[in-house]
Amino acid sequence: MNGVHDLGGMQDMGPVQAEKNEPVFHEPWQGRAFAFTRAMGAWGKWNLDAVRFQREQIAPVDYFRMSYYERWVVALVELMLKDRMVTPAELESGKPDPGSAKLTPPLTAEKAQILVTKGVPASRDVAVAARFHSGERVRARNINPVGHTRLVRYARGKIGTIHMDHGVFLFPDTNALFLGEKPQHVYSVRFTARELWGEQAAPQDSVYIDMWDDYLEAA
Amino acid sequence: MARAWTDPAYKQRLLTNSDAAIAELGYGGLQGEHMVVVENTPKIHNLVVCTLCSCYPWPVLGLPPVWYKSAPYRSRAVIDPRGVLREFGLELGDDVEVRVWDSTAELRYLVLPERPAGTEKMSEEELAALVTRDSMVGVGKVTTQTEGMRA
Repeated sequence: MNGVHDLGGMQDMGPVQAEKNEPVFHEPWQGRAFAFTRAMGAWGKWNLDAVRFQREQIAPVDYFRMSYYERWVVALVELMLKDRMVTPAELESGKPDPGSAKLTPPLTAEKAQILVTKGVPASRDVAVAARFHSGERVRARNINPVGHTRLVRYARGKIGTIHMDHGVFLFPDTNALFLGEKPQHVYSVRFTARELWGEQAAPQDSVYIDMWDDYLEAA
Repeated sequence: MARAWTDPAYKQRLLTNSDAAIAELGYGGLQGEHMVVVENTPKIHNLVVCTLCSCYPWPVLGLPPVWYKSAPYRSRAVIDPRGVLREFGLELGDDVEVRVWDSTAELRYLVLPERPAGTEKMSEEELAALVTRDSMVGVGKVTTQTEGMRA
């Protein structure tokens, strides 16, 4: 989806404002939002790509108005509503209905700890042929999927070189929509800054973008 | 990072088999499942960004700071990396190649900064104290003046 989350190359967003000695969370609710998002993942109703897609669907004006963890909460609530894990009435009252869905067995503090530390590899140990190899010239396809995609807009139609093959990973475009993992190779593709941005870019600079096989074509 | 500066064999492992090398020091887990370490040199400066969301190597750097997740950084790091670095106090010459790594997949990038000059006699532990988070994202350099968060 050509949403506002796809920020690469936009201008007029202002200076980068780094805070000295920044705390991990500025407000206690942000920590709760983080923990809550992790905990709800324990239901196994969705995957990381589906969560990202939900956040991308926040209306542009709200996306920029909201803080980072506000977006997390809003997306989580939407996912919970869709999967009937919570009702609008429960959200309104802040109290669970007696008949509302419960996770069985329930999530314990011990198990919750694992949810914020244990890795969830996206690589897949399946034999899939690589369509491209290091050093090959490729073009990022000029496609505009309306669903979730990790093909950044600023690289579409641009020519790059395969820098390295990262191996086989699940494909976010289908995974986000629960249409299967469609495992395929992911490559680091080097694009010169000039290819991406024209003459204003420094001739020696480049951007390396991770791209799935389905995002690329021979050039 | 300090281990890589003082132990060439470890540095080699860190650059070629990053996951295993990082696990040797006890780090790993969620959002650090597939690590790639890229090396800064006097002629190459690496910078890490996630233009689409906020991908960041949690197990080694913790949760990302607000600026890393913000629209200004995400939008400009790829089109104006030198301008962004200037705002962090880093002016790079024309003899330096800037490589920006946009974390669009599940690979998580970490910069191996340059070892600062004049630290030949320092121990790994002393060096580790100099390494900053910013230097491992690529928006800072390690100097003998910096005080790191952790190695």
